[in-house]
Amino acid sequence: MEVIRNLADGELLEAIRLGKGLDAAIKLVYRDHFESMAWLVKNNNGSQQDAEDIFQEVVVSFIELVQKGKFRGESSVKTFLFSMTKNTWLNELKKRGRTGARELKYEKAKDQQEMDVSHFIAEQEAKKQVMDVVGQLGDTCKKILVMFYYENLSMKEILVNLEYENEQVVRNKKYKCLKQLEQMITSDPSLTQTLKNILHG
Amino acid sequence: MDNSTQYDDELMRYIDGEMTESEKIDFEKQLAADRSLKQAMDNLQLAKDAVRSYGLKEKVSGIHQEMMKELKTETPVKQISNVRRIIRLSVAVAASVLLIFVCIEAYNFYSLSSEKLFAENYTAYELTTTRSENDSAGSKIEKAYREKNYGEVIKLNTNSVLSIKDVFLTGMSYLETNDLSKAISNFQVVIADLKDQKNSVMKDAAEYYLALAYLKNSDYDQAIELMAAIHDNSSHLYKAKFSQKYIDKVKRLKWR
Repeated sequence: MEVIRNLADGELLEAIRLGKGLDAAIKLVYRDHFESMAWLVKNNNGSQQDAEDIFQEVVVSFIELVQKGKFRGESSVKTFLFSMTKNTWLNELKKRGRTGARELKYEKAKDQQEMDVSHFIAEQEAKKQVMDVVGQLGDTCKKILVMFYYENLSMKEILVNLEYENEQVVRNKKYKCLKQLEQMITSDPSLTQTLKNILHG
Repeated sequence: MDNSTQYDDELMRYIDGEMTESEKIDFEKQLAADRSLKQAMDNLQLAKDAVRSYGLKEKVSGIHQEMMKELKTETPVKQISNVRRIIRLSVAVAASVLLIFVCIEAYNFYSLSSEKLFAENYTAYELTTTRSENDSAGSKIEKAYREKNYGEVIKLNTNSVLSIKDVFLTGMSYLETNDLSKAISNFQVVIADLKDQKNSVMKDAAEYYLALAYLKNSDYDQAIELMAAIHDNSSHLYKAKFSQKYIDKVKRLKWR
């Protein structure tokens, strides 16, 4: 198992951007940053589970933004993760009716710099909605689509994995699944518009 | 309908990156010319993008579980409960209050001095009655004392046979001029002379000033003994001057 113990921010971002050793890079992010980000959540009315959920969400956004070239190391990774964790947790507190939550206590990290991540937070929120929509697809559809579009497996590899009769059956199934997902997303015009804004923003 | 199916197939091939370079160029021209086709392509692109995000989320979720196991065994993150937070806060407040108290006490202890305690309690002795002026040494001493001419009081003392009051006033003058051992002797003479008298204003005053003279001269044992006696004597005129708190301060001064 590849274990990266020490990487400068630049090297980490490069590994994520190229997708080379992505698993190891994600583990490094957890080893280096989870504890302090969890501390921030737990010392502001969050549970251990809240801390884990928020960090997981932030890591997904972080990887995606790096891979899309929207975060190129304008600040340190720590500053970015801190700002994202803080704002994501503030948003969650507001959703839970803690309307007074405008600022978090973070004495331990008082020297911590922050960056404006408001547009990333908006993107993360829209992505969460779309994740819910994808989650509503059947298991087979999810597997085929993820294998093809995320894991970049060939039709032949998917055929082996899912034991279909031939490639054309898989191709047809994949086509139907993507169309189904497209219709589910576009049935919510406001979500569609938000996603398009993000895509073209 | 046929067109739609054909477009769907082309859209899918375009989205999946399966077109040849020339097919791609041709199709992009159609996209630029056909808004509804572009709209359909954008929607499919959204769906594809959603799948990629979902895939990443699943990947991170798998690694997350693994990392939580690793981190919890390596460095458990401390969960600070509300109760513990309140207890911590209370302890911190109590510790701060205690620290402030200790600092104040320490300051009081180390800033104590015989001069400070003397000044805290000392009231100059005022002659209340005006005697008719005559040439006696005693009256001259009283006059000089009234004028706060303590040097003159002491000078007159050396040349004259004095009344007990003049001995007292001379003691006061020594006290005022910080000649403490002579002040003590004078007050002791007054007290010895009046020892059989009860309710003597002069004797009470001499005891009070003698106690303060002892204090200023750092004769703490004598000072404490005399102050305690005055404190315990309910008919003593200067009882209120020596509270238990004040006597305790003198005791602390002795321990330093």
